[in-house]
Amino acid sequence: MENDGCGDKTLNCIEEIGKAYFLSWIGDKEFVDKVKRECLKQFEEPVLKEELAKISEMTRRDWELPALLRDHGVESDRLVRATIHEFLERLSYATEPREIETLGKVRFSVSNLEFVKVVRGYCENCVGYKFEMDAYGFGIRYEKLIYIETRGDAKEMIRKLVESP
Amino acid sequence: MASKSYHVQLKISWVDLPSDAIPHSNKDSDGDLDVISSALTDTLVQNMPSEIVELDPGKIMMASLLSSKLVTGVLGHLDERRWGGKYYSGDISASLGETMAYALLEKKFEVKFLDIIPLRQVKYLGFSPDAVIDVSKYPKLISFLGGKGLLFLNARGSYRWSQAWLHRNLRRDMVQVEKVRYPDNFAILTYLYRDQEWKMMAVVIRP
Repeated sequence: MENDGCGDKTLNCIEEIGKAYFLSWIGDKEFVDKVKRECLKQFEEPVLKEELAKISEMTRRDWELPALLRDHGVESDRLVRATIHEFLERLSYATEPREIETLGKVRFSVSNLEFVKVVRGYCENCVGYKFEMDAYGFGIRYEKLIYIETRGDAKEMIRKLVESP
Repeated sequence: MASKSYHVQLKISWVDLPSDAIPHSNKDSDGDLDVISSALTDTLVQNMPSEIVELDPGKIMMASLLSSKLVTGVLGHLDERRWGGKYYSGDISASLGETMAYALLEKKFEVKFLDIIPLRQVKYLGFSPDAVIDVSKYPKLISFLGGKGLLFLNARGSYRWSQAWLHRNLRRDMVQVEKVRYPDNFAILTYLYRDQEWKMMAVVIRP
């Protein structure tokens, strides 16, 4: 992304927003709202909507719009910023808080469904990919993300997924 | 369910589209986009398959976390022995299209799922791509695309293969993605469909 004077902060925020997406999946609304508070402002594009409306009126041919946007100062970066702004706002109001448990470096939530427990977790210092299966279900760890379906002990499966091979 | 030996095979047809070939200015004419869509469609059909990849079901499962609709059981929907009498809902086709695009990016270019911001959820804005990826973080992507910048993804899926479907959506998606890509970033447009096997048409737009 183009240097907008707060380069490092923007970069950090993009990483934090990516993380917020997955913590929203787990149900950590507190984290999502924190990222929104800290990051939303730098993705604001207050006059973009009006500019887009004005430029769209200049042509009826949809394929002429991309070049017209650039000619009138609407760059890729501004459009990306506006989409990330909308994404973060939406993520925050769409995330419902859930009970978050902790096991070592893993934050996770458990959905106790009728026939199976679904576990969604985030392991801050995990790397690599691991698949585990036992008589009660299975578990996947992809880098920091954990997904488990089991009829057995959820914590037992989490331990198997985070211990080194 | 997922065992270690079972993989999902995906046949891919790639085609290159230089930015210059896409009509952008009033020196171009209305029919140009249709001509390009037709040419791309023909080439994609001829090139199928230009690559075959084997995707790990566990990774497909994790890739599906990035899809925009609340569809679960993605692996069941990919299984050829699924309940064949029923049609796929459009939401499921779309989710499979997104999921397999992310799974492919991970397998071929080592793009981590955690680095992707799935913007499809805000596509109603009218100028949003499905996802944006910072190319400079992935050496394999840099060498495939031949440069650095932003990569915009547009991913579609359909259960039924139809040349008209591809042609129509190529035209639409070129206009859509050019709003954010033009002139000096990258884009990949993907079209997943079922034709006895899982297949994907993929268009790469370079500056």
